[in-house]
Amino acid sequence: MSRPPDLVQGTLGLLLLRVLSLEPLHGWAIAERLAAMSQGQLKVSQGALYPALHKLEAEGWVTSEWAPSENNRRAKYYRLTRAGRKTLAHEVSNWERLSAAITMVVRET
Amino acid sequence: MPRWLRRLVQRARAVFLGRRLDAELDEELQFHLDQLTQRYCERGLSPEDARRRARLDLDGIAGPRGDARDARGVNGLEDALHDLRLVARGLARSPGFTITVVSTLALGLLLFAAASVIQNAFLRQPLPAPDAERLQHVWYARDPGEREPVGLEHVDWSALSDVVEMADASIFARYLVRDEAATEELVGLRLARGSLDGLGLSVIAGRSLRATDFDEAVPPVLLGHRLWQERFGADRSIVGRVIVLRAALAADEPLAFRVAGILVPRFRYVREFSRPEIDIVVPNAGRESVYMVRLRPDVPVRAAEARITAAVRATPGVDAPASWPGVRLQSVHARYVQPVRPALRAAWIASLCVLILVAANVTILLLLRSLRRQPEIALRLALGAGPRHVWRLLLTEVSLLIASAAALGLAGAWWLLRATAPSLQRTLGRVAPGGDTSLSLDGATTAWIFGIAAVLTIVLAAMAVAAGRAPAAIRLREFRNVGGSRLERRARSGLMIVEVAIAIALLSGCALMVRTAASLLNADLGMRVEDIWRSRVALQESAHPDAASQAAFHARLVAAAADEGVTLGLANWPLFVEAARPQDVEVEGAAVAIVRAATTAASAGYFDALGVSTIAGRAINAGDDLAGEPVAAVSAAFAARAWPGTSAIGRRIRTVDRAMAGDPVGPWRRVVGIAGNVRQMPDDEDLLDVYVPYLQAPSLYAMVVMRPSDPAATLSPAWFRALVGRVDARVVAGSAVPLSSEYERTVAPVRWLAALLTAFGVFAAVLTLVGVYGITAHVTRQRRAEVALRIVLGATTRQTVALLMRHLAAVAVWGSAAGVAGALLLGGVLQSQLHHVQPFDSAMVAAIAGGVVIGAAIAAWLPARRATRIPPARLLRDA
Repeated sequence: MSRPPDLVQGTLGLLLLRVLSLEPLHGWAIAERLAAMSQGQLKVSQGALYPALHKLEAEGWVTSEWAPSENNRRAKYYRLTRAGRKTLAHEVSNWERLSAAITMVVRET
Repeated sequence: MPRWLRRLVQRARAVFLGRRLDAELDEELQFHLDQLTQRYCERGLSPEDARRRARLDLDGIAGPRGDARDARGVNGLEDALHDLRLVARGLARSPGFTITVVSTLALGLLLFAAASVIQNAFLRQPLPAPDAERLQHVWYARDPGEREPVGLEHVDWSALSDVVEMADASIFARYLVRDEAATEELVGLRLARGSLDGLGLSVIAGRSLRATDFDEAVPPVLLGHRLWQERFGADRSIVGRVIVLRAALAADEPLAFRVAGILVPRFRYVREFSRPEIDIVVPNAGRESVYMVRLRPDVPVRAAEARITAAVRATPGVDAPASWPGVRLQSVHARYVQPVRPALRAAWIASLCVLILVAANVTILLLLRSLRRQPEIALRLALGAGPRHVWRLLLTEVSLLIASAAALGLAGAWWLLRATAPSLQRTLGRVAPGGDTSLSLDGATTAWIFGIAAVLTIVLAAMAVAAGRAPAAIRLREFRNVGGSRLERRARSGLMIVEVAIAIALLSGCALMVRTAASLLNADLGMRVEDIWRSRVALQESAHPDAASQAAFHARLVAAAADEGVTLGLANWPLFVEAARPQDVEVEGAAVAIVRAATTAASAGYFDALGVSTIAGRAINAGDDLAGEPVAAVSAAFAARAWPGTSAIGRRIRTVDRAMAGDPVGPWRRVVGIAGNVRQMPDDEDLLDVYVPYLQAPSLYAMVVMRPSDPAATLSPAWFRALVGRVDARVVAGSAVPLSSEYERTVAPVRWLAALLTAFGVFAAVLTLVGVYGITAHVTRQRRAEVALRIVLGATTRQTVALLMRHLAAVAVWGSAAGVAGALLLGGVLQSQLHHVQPFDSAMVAAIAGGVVIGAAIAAWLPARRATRIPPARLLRDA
């Protein structure tokens, strides 16, 4: 199996916001959900995941709280804030516009 | 929440809750690792293999943890705090070094801050009046014996309105307030009409004076704060009430005033700020002479002098002598601070010199410390610490030391100023223009101290970094550079030269002031000071209108005191306040026709009480009254000047008082006695004195000296008031004080300056010796390998010590030269404070320079000698 492609620079924040828009999750679950939603195409390393989550928290787009996990271990859950939802909608719109433009150029015959 | 605020909160949490956040992050990462491990276990791996595989997948925990911490954005601050903790622990392990550096630097900054505040409070703070910097005192007579023009009250100042903004003709006046207990004399100010807004009149109750008050039948007045508190119990209801006073010179006529307001505390008349607080301000509608003006902005003083002089000459009714040179303007502030300016300047210069010395010594100590830490620094670099981190540690260490010293110094200065402000003003005999609050640490001085601390930090940190570089062992390969580069050698020598020069200059200044103090304190006053009391009496013109009645009162007063065993003397000039005014004295049949001498009207008791000796003839006695022949006594110095080589007894003299209007020439007087030379002030250099009998020239005001015949008896102010009251209850008795305390007051500023400069000089000398010792120790340590080799190759101890001290020759020469120049400069600053001492005494400076150089030589010899006693093998091993 070929190695899944690396994340495009600058998109990790958007992906994390999108994952958290479904439900609050802890870091491990976020990484698993991202891999599942991308059918294994996107894998985020621990070294990139947690700094990115902390940056999102510093920006006020997510909040965190400690709670028992599904196996009764204490885990830190991240939740999207209202500002985060607005940012997500804005970033999704930007991404769709950008990807459409890139597709047009790439597919131009 | 705004974004910037959120970031600030986040960073603050990262700084102050860093450990907790780190623990949470570790827990979070551990959870992730455990989940992945469990995944691998479910796939069939053993727990150990699963954990190892999970760690490999996640690059361990340290990497993600570091990345997550970096994302907090506070790495720089955390590193700084870490460095601070490390440096603090290191300094705590060297308590001697730390305490020495911090305490000496704090002391230097404390002294400089305090001296700066004191100098600024007196020399830069304006007097408390509107636009006080433009106030000028008007001198109509340039010398004390010169006569002012008569009729100055007729000058039309409105014609000078283009140069003079305000012309103040306010004058002092004395008022009496009586009750059953006593009569109190008040210090009054009769306010001129044009000075309403120019003297800084402010009230805490009621209102200030208005232009319409000058024409009121019952004049509104302002009460002084002290009078209001002591006599009226601080009762605000006094405002609006009428009080009855009496003029000191016409006490039979009651004067009614309506209290309009209460002055702010400690209000003084700005033109005579050294005089006591004002008790009452009374509007004066009459015309008086103007002695103070406020010039318009940008009007040159010389131009104003010319305009005023022309106006005075052109005024009808003004009688100015043909030789009158014109008016002279002097800044009111400059006149006020003139007596203390040299002392404050000298103290500030001395504090600056001490600060430079302290900084030099701290530099030496830090250099030595950096040198000793070379192995430690080399080890850190070898273990992977970046050079920047190491230099950052050195900078943090220097910053912590200097910041601590600055904080300690400022705290000490704040406390010192607060504790000594009242006593300092008493010692200097002057109230600070801005009051006690100006003698406190201000923002400008604090900023200066922090600025100096910042500059010191940068300079010392750079030197510490430079000194912490490659050990001397490496330089040994290049032999000529052992002992440092040329720049280092010159810097070391420069430091020592500066230290030696400052020590010589300060010790010279100290010696000048100590000799001045000794000269003053040992000066033969020609009279006794112990067991003498001084006071004054003020007669009322209405009760004693002529010389006969005045003389009669004085005679009764002397007799009444004698009945109680007290010798009482009278004079027309107060001792230890000012010397008698010099006048021209015509001398009959003498080698010189005119001798300028201080003329004092003195009674028989004056000479008896003060113990003034009679060298020839007789002293003035009680029989020398208005009915008797006009006589006089002269001082021995006067007799020698007027009749050198011949007897003065029987000769005739007469005084010519050109300062008074009318006929200035007095009657011919026969000289009946020659008195010993007397100094009316400790620094009185003019010993030419003429004494006329007080009963032949009485006045309404007299200075009184008293001495009990029983040495064990003690007089008191109450006793004197009672004595005067028994003779004539209408006469006002001043407060009686011991003459010795007045004498101490006049010499206190000299003592203070001598003590201050002595302390500075000794401190500077100690710092210099410590500095020279430290630098020589530094040089010796750098050259220890060379020393070892020389000893091994046969050099004697003397040769080795001479080699290590070779740098001292240049230091001695240049340091002494600079020190002599500094002594010359400081002597010029102190010149006006000196008494019987030349500002530059070459023998004294040479002796001081020799002493400092010898001391420096000994301080340098000690570490050099010690180095030769260490076994060469050990020197080489330590190199």
